[in-house]
Amino acid sequence: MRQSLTHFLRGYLWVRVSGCMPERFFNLCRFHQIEIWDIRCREHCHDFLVSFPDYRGIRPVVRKSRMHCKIIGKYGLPFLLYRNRKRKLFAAGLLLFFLMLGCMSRFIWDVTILDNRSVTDDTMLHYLADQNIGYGVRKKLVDCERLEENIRLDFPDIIWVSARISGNRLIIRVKENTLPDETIRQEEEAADLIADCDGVITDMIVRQGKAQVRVGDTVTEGQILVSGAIPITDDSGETVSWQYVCADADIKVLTVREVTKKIPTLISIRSSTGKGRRGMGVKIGSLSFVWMIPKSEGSLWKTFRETWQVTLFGDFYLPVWVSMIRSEEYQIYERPRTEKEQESEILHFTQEVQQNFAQKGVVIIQNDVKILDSLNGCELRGTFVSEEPAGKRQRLDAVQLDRNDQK
Amino acid sequence: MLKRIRRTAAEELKIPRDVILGEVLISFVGKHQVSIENYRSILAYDDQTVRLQTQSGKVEIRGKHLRIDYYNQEEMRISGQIRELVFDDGRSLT
Repeated sequence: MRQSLTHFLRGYLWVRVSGCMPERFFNLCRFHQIEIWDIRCREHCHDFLVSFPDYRGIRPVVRKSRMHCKIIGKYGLPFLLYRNRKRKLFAAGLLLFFLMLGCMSRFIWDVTILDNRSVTDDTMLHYLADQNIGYGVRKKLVDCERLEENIRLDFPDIIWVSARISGNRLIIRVKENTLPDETIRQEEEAADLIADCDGVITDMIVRQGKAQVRVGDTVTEGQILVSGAIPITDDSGETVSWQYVCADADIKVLTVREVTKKIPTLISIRSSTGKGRRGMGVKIGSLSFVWMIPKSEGSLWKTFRETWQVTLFGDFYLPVWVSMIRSEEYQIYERPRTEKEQESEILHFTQEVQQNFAQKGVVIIQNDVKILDSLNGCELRGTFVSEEPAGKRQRLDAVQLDRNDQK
Repeated sequence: MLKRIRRTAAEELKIPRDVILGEVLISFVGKHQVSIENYRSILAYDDQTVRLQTQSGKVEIRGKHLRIDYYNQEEMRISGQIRELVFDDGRSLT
């Protein structure tokens, strides 16, 4: 590849030699270190390629070996430039292209944010815009170290950040704090642990405080499960004082929950008519152009658009986006659900509820979901028996603390 | 005498013979390409034969549509439909 490029830049000739001593000619070329390559034997002659600067050295060798030499073709940059010497506008355009390329390469044309979860790309891009960093900003003006420092200060959830410029792209890689808030929240204020739902206790491990219920007990919402006030008794069993702690325990309760969801009686079906349209779009900066056959009045279309940013050399992002657009016409009609669709709806609803519960740490043990038809429409009603962690902290108020102390 | 010393040295010191004795080194890539190192000169070339002079004798490559991709002081690369490699003493590799 490198050699081919050198040959192209230096220029090369396709030469035909004929005579009775071709071997002598090739040996002399080798002796004089004349680089020739791609030698082919034709009828009564030999063809080969020789670099343009070496061709001058070939003439004495040809004479010495009593051969005849003829140039068949001329290739490479020197000949290309010579052939196009009168095309001044082309040369000017080429020069302008490289000038523009040089100028454009001094700006940022793409901002990539990696490994962000809670801080969205939009949030980060708006933040960067506030810091005067974005598309079209000169690379020289972007101070990566300062930007890293500012992001760390302004986003407490981001614990590590790296900003670097690669070509025309600003790459920001962040690492967010994934530890749950509970580990941070370690208030050691006196508090009870109360039930946050009705149910039957199935498991209970008390770490701090005095248990008020046992496994198997039925509890109601708001009932104290573990008390933060621990009585200190003397030998006779009388309470002499109180110790106040922040009650802490792992408690699981078996609870029954009812979840309902209204759904329309009829379902809308989008049916494709088979008609389609194709087009393309170009976005240059804030200007946007779309070439597409216009749609007829009142028809419904769903459109798919695939967009990509134009790059040069894989890393040079230009502010130009090209998109391919495909549209399909459809019609909407309504009909009641089939049995299969009802089952699918129930399954989807159950999965949705399970997913919501799972996020709260609730495990569903049993479920019963039905579709109820009524005049007002359809309703999905599900009864879910679940085992879930229970208990929320309730601060011991000052009045209660005083009363206990007076006793 | 000097040649014998070199040969003994090459055998004892386990130095490749092509390095110390300048013997011809031929490498094939399938049956369409062959590289020849340590040759001295081209004796004959047409599209069916390439005959070369080496330190230890003559080497002939026979085939069809033979083409010299490049050659320089040390190395030559030939491509085409290679059928046979013959040493001047009559030994041949087909």
